[in-house]
Amino acid sequence: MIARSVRRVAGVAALAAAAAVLAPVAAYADNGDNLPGCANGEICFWYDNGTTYQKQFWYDADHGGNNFMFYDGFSYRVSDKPVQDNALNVTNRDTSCSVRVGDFSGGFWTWRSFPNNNAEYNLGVINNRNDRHERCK
Amino acid sequence: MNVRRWVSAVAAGAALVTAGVVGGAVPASADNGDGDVNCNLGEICFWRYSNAVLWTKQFWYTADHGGYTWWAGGATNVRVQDDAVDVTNRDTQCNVRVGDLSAATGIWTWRYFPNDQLRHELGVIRNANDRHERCV
Repeated sequence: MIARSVRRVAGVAALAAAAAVLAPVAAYADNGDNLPGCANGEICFWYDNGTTYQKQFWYDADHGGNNFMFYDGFSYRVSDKPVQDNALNVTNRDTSCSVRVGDFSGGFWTWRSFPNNNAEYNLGVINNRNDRHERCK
Repeated sequence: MNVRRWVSAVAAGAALVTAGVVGGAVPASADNGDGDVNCNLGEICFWRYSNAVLWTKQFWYTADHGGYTWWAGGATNVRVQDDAVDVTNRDTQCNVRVGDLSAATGIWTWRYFPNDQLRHELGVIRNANDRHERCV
């Protein structure tokens, strides 16, 4: 997966540079390409049917500890809205495979799988119950 | 497939053949576990309630639920598909997932159950069950 690998290297390099220059940055932070919108290769979550609150990932991730990014057409920054148990829609732009989004409740996982067709899907029964997503399962 | 499942499957197959010869047409693909009313080791069992009475349906294998009906002390014409409340996974090897296929979107929703012998509520799959799969 060349495109993803290139992006990953670039993303890690950017994170390392940011960590060196700015301040503590979580080594595991995944924000896709760090740009607003849902780019090729990204797995994108949406707070509602708009685009003001969005969150992008490259990889598998627990949603705890991640917040939606705020984007008003100018500013792109971390918002105060958590992603976990708080997403309405998902767009899978993974270059390889489907993505499943899961809810862990009552000791069991419920997963809903979404194809990488660039369409924005309602999470259905996972709506506002999203705990994690996984690629290629 | 371990020995127990294999032996049971052979026995169930023999029972089906016998029933087919003696009793009439039996779908070659029909899966009713070991054919006993109890939820025995190796089976994947679904449950439905009618008042206080438990209705049952057992499987050995992965299956679509369309075409299967409940046992309620006797055969019924009530379909298993989209009409189950609980599941017990007595598979000897692995988890079982039970799924709902959305006709509107074509998206599957799966809920995973361990082979812990316990009866578990299907949760969001309750009365929306279209299929179950072993070891995935």
